[in-house]
Amino acid sequence: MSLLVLEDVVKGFPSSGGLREVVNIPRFRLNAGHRVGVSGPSGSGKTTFLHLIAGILSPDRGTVWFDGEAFSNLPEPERDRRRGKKMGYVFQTFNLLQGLTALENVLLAQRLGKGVDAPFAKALLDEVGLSDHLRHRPGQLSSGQQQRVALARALANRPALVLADEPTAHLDPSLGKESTLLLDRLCTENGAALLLVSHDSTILNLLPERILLASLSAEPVR
Amino acid sequence: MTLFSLVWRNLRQHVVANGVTVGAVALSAGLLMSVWGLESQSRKAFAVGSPGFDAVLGARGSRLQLVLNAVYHLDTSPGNIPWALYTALKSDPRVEAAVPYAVGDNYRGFRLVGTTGEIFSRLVGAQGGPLSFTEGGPFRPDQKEAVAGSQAARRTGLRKGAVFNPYHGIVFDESMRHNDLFRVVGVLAPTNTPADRVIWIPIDGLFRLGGHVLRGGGAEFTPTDGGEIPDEHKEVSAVMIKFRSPQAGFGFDQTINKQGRVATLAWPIAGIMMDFLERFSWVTMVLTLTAVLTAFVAGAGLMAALFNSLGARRREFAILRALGASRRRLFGMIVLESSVVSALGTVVGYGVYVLLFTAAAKVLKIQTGVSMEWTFFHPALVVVPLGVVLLGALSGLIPAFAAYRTSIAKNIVPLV
Repeated sequence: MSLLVLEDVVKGFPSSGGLREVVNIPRFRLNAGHRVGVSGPSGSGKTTFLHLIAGILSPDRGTVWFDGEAFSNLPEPERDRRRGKKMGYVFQTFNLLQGLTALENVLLAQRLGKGVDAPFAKALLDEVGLSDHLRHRPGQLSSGQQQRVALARALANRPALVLADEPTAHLDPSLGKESTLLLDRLCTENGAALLLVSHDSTILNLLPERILLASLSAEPVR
Repeated sequence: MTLFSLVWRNLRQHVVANGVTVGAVALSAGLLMSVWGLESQSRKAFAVGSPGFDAVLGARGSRLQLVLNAVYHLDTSPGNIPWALYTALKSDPRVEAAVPYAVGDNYRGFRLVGTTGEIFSRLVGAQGGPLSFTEGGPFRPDQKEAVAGSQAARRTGLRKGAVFNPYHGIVFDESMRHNDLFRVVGVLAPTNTPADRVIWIPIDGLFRLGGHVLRGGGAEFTPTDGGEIPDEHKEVSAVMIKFRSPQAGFGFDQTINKQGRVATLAWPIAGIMMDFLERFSWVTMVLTLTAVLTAFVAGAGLMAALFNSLGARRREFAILRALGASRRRLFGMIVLESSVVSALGTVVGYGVYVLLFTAAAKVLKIQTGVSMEWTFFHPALVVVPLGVVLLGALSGLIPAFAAYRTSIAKNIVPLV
């Protein structure tokens, strides 16, 4: 069954030459539990693609279907609520809240999602090898450790879909590989689908499925 | 991890800036509560006037000066009136009680008031209770004996059995010492009225203090030891009066103030004090305005601090939004943050209020004998904190709106 469907989704942004179309996807489908790597060069609209799926941006045209409902047609507060509960997001720069500890960062995601489940939050941090760093703040953690906190946070609400936007961009290659495998394993164990965008083919090759974002487009992205 | 704990973390991260704002809010809240509380309590305290008496009769002149002199034992006496006026009042059927006061001497700055023993059955405390003695009892009218008010006794060290020399004048001057010796036979319990600052002696004793010259009948008369003082030579500074009915007050007011030329009747005492306080209502207004302005400055400071921090926090807001926080939640978070700062300010403000009030009340107690307590409830103690928290919440509205409008897409972009 399809967890995510994009139908005729178009998104553009104003530019000096008028509206610049960044995403134009006639149809895209992702089944529950599938883990897919999306490749594309810089500026090809990968982040916009994820933002449209997450409901952070609304398409100019078309519909994003998620979990059986026309997600992009929902009012913004509803999209926020569903994103918090059913999606996990891994950012390129981790985006942890600096004032909170590793555990609190995960708990905050639960608080804004399905509700606090401290044992599960601790289990996730244990899973990513940070059981000894629960009380550490991001500033006290290495880049690799911060990324692992971000992975735990993305899984904190047992989401149906995890979106990862260049999650290894700021990690060295071996750490990036390790982090991707960990994310893939966490998604598999938790039954979450994964959509990971990256420009790095070595990272994408670690995932079971791969697509080229440009191949989804109705027109070549300029 | 609750939203409140997130707000609390943010506040702790900017502890210096928030501490300054809390201090400013505390000062304004404390000042407002103190000004309104003191104003209200002093009105109540002065409205009590001289419990047990309705009016003061004294020399022709200012009614306020009469009240300040006879009731609050402040200011100078406007002059003396003949003893005959006192005896006439005493025998008037419309008068329930008339008690003479003769002043003009002190002991270490505390006034000596020459009077009759009736004062001890007529004076009552601020709460309406009768006078009581912590030591000894009333003086005998024909002896050089004294009864000290509680504050006068405490501050001069006078206790039952102590002997002292009075000093001439109402301001203490060591060179003005009388040779006469008075023995303390009683110390009064605190009444929280100006009476606490008085040392009471028999009026006859005051007449006979060495060097005193009486002019009650127009001619000068110097009392001699053991010699009789004819009534026509006696004079008093004031007569404290209790009427049998309010109508009697109207009647005396007409005959003494409007038709007479010899004396002045200050009636009703509380009304005259209220008129007096009303003249200083502008002071309350200025202080209130200052406090309100301080509150607005604190609110503006809070808004500026929040606004300045927004730039650095947009990323944090975007992260929260991406994690599922709605725009309304971010809005609420900022308003909660400003409300918490102002609420902390009001909590500290209660401390400022207690300090300011206690200091002001102490000065007032020493100066006038009037007692005021910070524990006394006044609506300002509820209204001011609520108003300040509301002002704080309002100060957070504009920054909250800016947070509300934070775009995830624009602010979540990678930053290294």
